[in-house]
Amino acid sequence: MAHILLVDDDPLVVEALSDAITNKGHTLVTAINGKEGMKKFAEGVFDLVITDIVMPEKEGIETIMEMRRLVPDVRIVAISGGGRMGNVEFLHMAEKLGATATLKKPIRLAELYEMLERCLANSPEA
Amino acid sequence: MTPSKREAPIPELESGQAQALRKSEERFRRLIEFAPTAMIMVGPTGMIEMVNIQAEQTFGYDRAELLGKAVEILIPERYKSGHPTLRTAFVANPESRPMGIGRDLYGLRKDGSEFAIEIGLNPIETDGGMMVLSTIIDISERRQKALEASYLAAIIDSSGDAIIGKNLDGVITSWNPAAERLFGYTPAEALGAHISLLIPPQRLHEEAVILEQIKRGERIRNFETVRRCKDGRELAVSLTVSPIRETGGKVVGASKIIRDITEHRQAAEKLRLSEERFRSIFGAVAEGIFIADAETGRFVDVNEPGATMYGYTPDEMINLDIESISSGVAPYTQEGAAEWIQRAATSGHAQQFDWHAKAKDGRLFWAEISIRFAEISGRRVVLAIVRDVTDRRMIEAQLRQALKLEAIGTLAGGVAHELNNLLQPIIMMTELVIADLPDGSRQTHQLTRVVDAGVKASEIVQRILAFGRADEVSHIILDIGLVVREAISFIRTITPSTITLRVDIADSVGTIRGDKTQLTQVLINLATNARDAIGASVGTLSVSLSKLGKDLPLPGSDVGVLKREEYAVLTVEDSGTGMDEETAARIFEPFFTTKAVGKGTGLGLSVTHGIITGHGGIVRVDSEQGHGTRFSIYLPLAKDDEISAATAKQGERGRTNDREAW
Repeated sequence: MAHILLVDDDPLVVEALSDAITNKGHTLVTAINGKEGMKKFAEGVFDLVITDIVMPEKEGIETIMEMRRLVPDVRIVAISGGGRMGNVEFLHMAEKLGATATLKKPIRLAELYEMLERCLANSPEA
Repeated sequence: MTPSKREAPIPELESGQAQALRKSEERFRRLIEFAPTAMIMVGPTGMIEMVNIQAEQTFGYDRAELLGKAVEILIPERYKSGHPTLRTAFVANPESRPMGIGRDLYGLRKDGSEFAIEIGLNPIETDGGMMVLSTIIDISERRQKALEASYLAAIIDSSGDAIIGKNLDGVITSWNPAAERLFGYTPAEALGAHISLLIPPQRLHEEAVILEQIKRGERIRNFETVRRCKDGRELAVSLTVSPIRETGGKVVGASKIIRDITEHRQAAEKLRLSEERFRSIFGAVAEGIFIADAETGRFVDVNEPGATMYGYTPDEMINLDIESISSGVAPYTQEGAAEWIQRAATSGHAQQFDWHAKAKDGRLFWAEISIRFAEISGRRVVLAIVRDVTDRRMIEAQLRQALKLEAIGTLAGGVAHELNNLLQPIIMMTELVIADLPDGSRQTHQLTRVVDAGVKASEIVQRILAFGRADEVSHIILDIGLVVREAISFIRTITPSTITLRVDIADSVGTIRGDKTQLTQVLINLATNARDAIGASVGTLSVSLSKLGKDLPLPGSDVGVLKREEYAVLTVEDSGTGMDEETAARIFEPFFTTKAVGKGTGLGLSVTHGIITGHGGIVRVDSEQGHGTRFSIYLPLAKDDEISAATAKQGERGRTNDREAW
């Protein structure tokens, strides 16, 4: 079983993903923005971080970069409902800047489980 | 010649002497008879006693008609009555003298005509009393000449040009008032002075040349030079120098007419400068300058940039009319131009407008034109400044499009983000519920529909997000015929049986560089619109593909112009409702739709336009309300080098691309 940090500002998204993840027996800590996410990230040790990109307070790209600085080998999955600035696709950018994987919302259940399996496969605790 | 009073009494002589005397008298008589001056002898009573041949000729009488007649027969009526008194007075105090001093004397001819005369009176004492021999000279010719001379003198005196006489030594012999006015020297100062008085030192050599020519009897006309005034001022003058000849024809001097052309020269210089300035502006500006005759509407002058813009030489454009360099599509016709000209004429102000122009080779382009009425050398002309604004219009159109797309992009991004966040719990929580339900249950089936709807909704969101991402497509070499055939098979599935689908794909049209997915999207989009335009009625939807050769005239479009290349022409035509002009002009605008709410996004044609422009092509729409609509898409065919370069690496990619399409 893995210990996962989920960061997303949308409570319904958090609830849906939490249900799905805990259904698989994983433990979960949630945060509602990048700032809170960073705080929780510093307090614990996580096998995986799932973070949204477009969030108030501290957005996802910055969060990913900061986490990567703190724990270089942390696995991070960036998720986003889309959107871009000019020609820059957020998820594409997140991948370049250190996300292990990306998922576009809405994420299908099967997609999520496949991703968890893939990301946690090499995890020592998995 | 006139015998004196003292000689008159002839004494009685001996016969030898008498003979000598007779001879002498005979000689005198003959002398009088043949004298070239008219002579008349009048007796004491005023009767004519003798006339000579010249008198006969001068008065027009025969001798017999005059002899014994009163001398008054030869005097005009108005002087006749006073004459006997004058004659008596002369007889009382006879001495040789000219008659009528201070008065004009006139003789009367037999034919009644009068003529001016001069009379010398010579009293002759004879046995028969005091005779008067009158010598009469016809001076009418002399008087005429004197009159002419004074007339000429008056002309010279009143002439505005300086008229100077000089002899062959260059000494001034005459000096008219204009010469005084011009040069400042009085006649007293000028007469007798050398002509070099008027010549600036550096031009002294001219005088020798002039004199040399004059001596040869040649005339110098309008020789432009500089002469100097008394006050040292130098004047630009034009000289006309003519030789003056003696009666024998020998040149003795010259008359010089000197005209001050300082002002004329300045005006001419000003004109030349102005013309030069005009010419240099005319040639130097980047804008085309066209001058057309207001009456005929034909060009009378065109500058180099103007002619080049239209692919002509300036000479070739002279006499062309506006029609021949306009697209000819209303309102860009001769009549349309006439309206603008009329507007400029009535308002008196410059008129500015865009014009769809046609070059010599048939190329169409947009020009911005300013026209104004002007008068040049008394001719009413239309002055037009012309700029090729094809690029500007294209950029403007692209910018408008880009701004709209950017706005849409931003909007779409925001909307997509919100919707996807909402769809996330809808889909995933439903899936979680389904996972807990027994397989094949009614609820599983129902909730699966909810998931499907959610997924479909997310796909729509994805499509909105994809809007405006034309820059992210990959262009590869495509057989355009193949692309169209594949799209047709899809179009068939969306075409109801009430609509006849006609397909006409020409063989081997060729290849283009493009994105198959995008082009298929365009075709399906146009076909969907065509289907909707026909609606529930019976109609025809035609799709055709052909090739437009280099030699064929290129069509214009609302935005953009085609380069002279080979094109694949794809048309989608329907027999539907058609559009009015206003609608046709707006169809490529994002969010513009004629469809009912919920039936269309208003993005289809905007996307179509963006895609085709991205392919270097143009879209043209021809529509008439009630008669259907035809969209024509012109896509540049790939060049040979593009094809060969692309063939090598395309194998696998092409297949990948095929899979991705639809």
